[in-house]
Amino acid sequence: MQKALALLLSLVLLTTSVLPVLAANTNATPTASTVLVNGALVAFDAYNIGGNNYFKLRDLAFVLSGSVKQFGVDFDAATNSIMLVVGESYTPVGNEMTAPGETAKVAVPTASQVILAESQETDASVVIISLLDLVAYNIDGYNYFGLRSVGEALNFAVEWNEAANAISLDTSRGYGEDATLVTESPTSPDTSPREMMTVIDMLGREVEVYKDTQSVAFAWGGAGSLVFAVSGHDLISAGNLAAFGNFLRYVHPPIADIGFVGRGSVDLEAIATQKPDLYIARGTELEGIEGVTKLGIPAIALFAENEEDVIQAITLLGVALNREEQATAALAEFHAVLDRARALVADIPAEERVSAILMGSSPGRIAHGEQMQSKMIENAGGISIVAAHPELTSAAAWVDAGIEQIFAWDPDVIFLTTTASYVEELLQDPAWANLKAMQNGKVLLVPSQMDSWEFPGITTCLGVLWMVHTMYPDKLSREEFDAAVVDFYRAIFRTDVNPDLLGY
Amino acid sequence: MLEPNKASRLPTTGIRRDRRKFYLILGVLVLLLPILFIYCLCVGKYPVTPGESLRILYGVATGATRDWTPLTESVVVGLRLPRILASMMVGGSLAISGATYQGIFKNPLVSPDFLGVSAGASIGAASAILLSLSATYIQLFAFCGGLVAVIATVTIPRLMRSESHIMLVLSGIIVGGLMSSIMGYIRYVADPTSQLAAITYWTMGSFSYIRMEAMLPILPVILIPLLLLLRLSWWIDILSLGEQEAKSLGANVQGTRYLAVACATLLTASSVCISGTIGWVGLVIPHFGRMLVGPSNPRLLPIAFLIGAIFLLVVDTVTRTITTAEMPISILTGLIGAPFYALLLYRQRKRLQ
Repeated sequence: MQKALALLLSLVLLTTSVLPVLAANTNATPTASTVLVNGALVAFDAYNIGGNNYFKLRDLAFVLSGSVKQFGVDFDAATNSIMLVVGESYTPVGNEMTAPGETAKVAVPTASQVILAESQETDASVVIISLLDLVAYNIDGYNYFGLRSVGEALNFAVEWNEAANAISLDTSRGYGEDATLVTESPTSPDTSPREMMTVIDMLGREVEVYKDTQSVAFAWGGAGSLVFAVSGHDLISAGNLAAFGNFLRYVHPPIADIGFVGRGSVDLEAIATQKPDLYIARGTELEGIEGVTKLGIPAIALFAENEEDVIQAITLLGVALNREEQATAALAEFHAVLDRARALVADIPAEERVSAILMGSSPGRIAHGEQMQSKMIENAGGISIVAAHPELTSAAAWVDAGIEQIFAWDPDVIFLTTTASYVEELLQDPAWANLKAMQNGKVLLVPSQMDSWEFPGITTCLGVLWMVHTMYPDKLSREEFDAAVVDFYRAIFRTDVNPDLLGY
Repeated sequence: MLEPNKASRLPTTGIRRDRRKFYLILGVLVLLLPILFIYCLCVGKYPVTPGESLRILYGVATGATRDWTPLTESVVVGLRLPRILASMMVGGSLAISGATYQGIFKNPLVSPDFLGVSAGASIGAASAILLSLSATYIQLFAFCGGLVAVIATVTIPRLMRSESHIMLVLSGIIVGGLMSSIMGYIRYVADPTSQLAAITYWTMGSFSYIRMEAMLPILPVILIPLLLLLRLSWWIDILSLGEQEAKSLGANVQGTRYLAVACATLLTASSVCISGTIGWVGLVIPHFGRMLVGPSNPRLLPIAFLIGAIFLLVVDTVTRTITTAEMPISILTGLIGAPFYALLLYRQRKRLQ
C-alpha cells in the first residue's frame, strides 16, 4: 500500500516535471534572401532553418575584417572550443566564402563551445569576456550559427528588409540599435541619471518610465505577443511566455533562456534580482503592480480582452518602449487585415450570411455576445447567434449555455477554441452528427496551434480573416489566405511561416 | 402472565409496522423514479413537446417509423437520455456508497468525499490530462486515484493501531490535505490555456456533456458492486454488532469489510469518472434514508440508492433548465445539502449523543 502511494506520488511528480525538449534534425534550405554588408552585396554560404538564417563564423569574420566590428576566430582543438576575439583582424585559413549551397540539407543541432574574448593591447594576451550561447547547426561537417545571435554577441546590427527580401549587416551600429537612434558614445559608461517620461497606462495611472527602456519583464502570458509585436525579442529580459512561447522560441530560440518573474502573478524577489527597466502587468494584477512599483521598477498595466484593448495596448507599448514607429507599423498591418476581411464580406446579402458560435474549453461553454470571439464572427461577416441573447452576457468571459441550447440554435458553423481538448469526442459522437455544422464539416478548431488566433493579440486579425475563408470560401481561397498569413508574420515578426509550422 | 406476553408482542408489531413503512416508502420511490425520469426527459432548452419526446423514446425502442427530425431525436436520445441516466446512476451510487462507508466505519461523518475517494479520483484524472492521455486513460487513472486515496485513509489508523473514529476522521483530514496540495501542484504546472480548463471540468462536477459510448464501459463497474452491496447489506448489519458477536454469528469480518469498502470505492470512483466530483450526496442522502427507514442496512441501501438517484436527477434537471446559463451542479447540491444536513443532525442529536 505504501509502495502504491509512493508510486502514485512519484508518478505525479514525474509527469509534472518539465521534460527537456529534444533537439531533432531539421531541414536547412539555402538562404533565399540577399545579404548586404554595410550596403554591399555579399554572397554567403548560409542556410535558412525554421525561418532563421545561419552563417559560418569564419565567413562573417572574413567579411567583417577591417571594419570596426572585426573579430578573429581561433579554434582550440584541446578544449574543442571556438574563441572569437573582439577587435582583432581576421587571419584567413583558406576555406572562407565557399560558393552558396543550392540544395536543401539536413541540419543537425550542435553544441559548440564559443568563447567571446578581447585582446589586450599591452601584451597581446587574450582576456575571456563571456561564454556565448549561440544556436548552431552542423550541415555537411560545417557549423552554422544563428546570424542574430552572432550579431548580438559581437554587437553589429542585423536587419531584415521585407520588401527587398534582404538581410543587412551594419557595423556602424550596435545590435538592436535603431538607425535613427545612434547613440553618440556607446562605449562610455553613462553616469548621468537616465531620462524619464510619463505615460498613462490602461488603468489610467500616470507612470514614470525610462525613455530608453532596455529590458522588460512580465508574468502575464498575454503580454508576450504584444511586446514582441512592438519591439521584437531584444527587449524581453524575463517573462512568462505561456502558449505564445512555442512561437517565440521558434522565431528566436535563445528566448527560451530568458528569466522568470512569475506565472500570472509576479514573483517580487525574482523581479528585484533582475531589475528590468519596465514591468508589464495585466490590468487585474493590482497587488503585483504595487509591489513592483515599491521596488523602484516602473510598472504599466495593460488589458487585452478585445480588439480595442489590443490596439490601445500596442499603442501604449509603442510609447513606453520608445518604438512608436514599430507599433504604428504593426497596427497598420493589423488594420489592413481586418479591413480586408470586412471588405470581402461587405456585399454578402443578409440571407446568405452564415450563423456561427464559438465554443470554449468544454462542450456547451460558449463565447457570449459581447466577447471578442463573438465580435470576430461578426467582423468576418457571420451572424453571431449569441448577439441575440443578451441574457447570456456576463462580465466574465465564456458562459455555459448548455449543449441542448446549441442544438436548439443549430448554427451553420461551430468554431472551437484552439485548445479544445474534446474535439475528437465531439466529432465521433453520433448525437452531434445531426447538427448542420457537423454535416457541413464546419465544426472547426480556430488556428493555429502555435499562435492561437482567437486569443486577444496582434494575430487576432488573422483569426477574423480565417473565419471569412471558412464561412465564405468563395470570397477568400485557401491560397489567398495562406499568402495573407505569410505576409502578416513576415511584417510583424520578421519570420517566414507556413501552415504546417503554425499548425492549421 | 400478562407482562411477558405484552413484552413479546410489542416489538413484533413494531417490526411489522417498520416493515410496512419500508415497503411503502420503497414503493413510492420505485414509482416516483420512472415518473421523474420521463418528466425530465421532456423538459429542456431544445423545443420538443413532452408528447414528442415520449414518441421518440418509444419509436427508438420499438423501431417504429420516424416522423420527427433527426436532430430532435439526437437531443432526446443522444443528449437528454444519457444525461438523465448518468445523473441517476451517479446519485444512486454516491448515496449507496456513502451509506456503506457510514455502516462499515460506524461513523456518521464519513462520506465518499471525506475518505478522499473523490479527491483521489480527481487527481488521477488530472494527472492523465497533464500527460495528454486519452479519455479512456483519464477514467482509468481517476479510478486508480480513488482507490489509492481510500486505501491511504483506511491504512493510517491501522498503522497507528487505532480503531477509534477520531483517528479515522484525522486520517481523512491528513489524506484530504495531501490530496488538495497535490491537486494544487497539478493546477500550478498545468498549461493554463488548455489543460487547466479540462482539469477544472473534472473537479467541478458536471453532467453537461455525457456520451452514451463513454458511459457504457463504466456501467458494469457500477452494476456489479451495486448488486454485491445489496447482497452484503445484511452482513454489514452483523458487523455493526461488534467483531466478537459477528464472528460468533459466522461472519467473515475482515472479508466482508474489505469487500464492502472495495465495492463502495468502485462506485464512487466510477461516479467521478462519469461526472467529476459532486459533493454532499454521499453524506446527506444516507442520513435522510436512515431517518425514513432506520439504520438497518438491508433496508437503508436500496432506499439510499433510490433517493440519491431521484435527488441528483432533479437537481441536474433544475441546473439545466432554470437559468439561461447552466449552473454548476455542486452549487445546488451544496445549497440544498448543507442546511439539510444541519436539520438532520438536529433531529438525530439524541442518537448521536
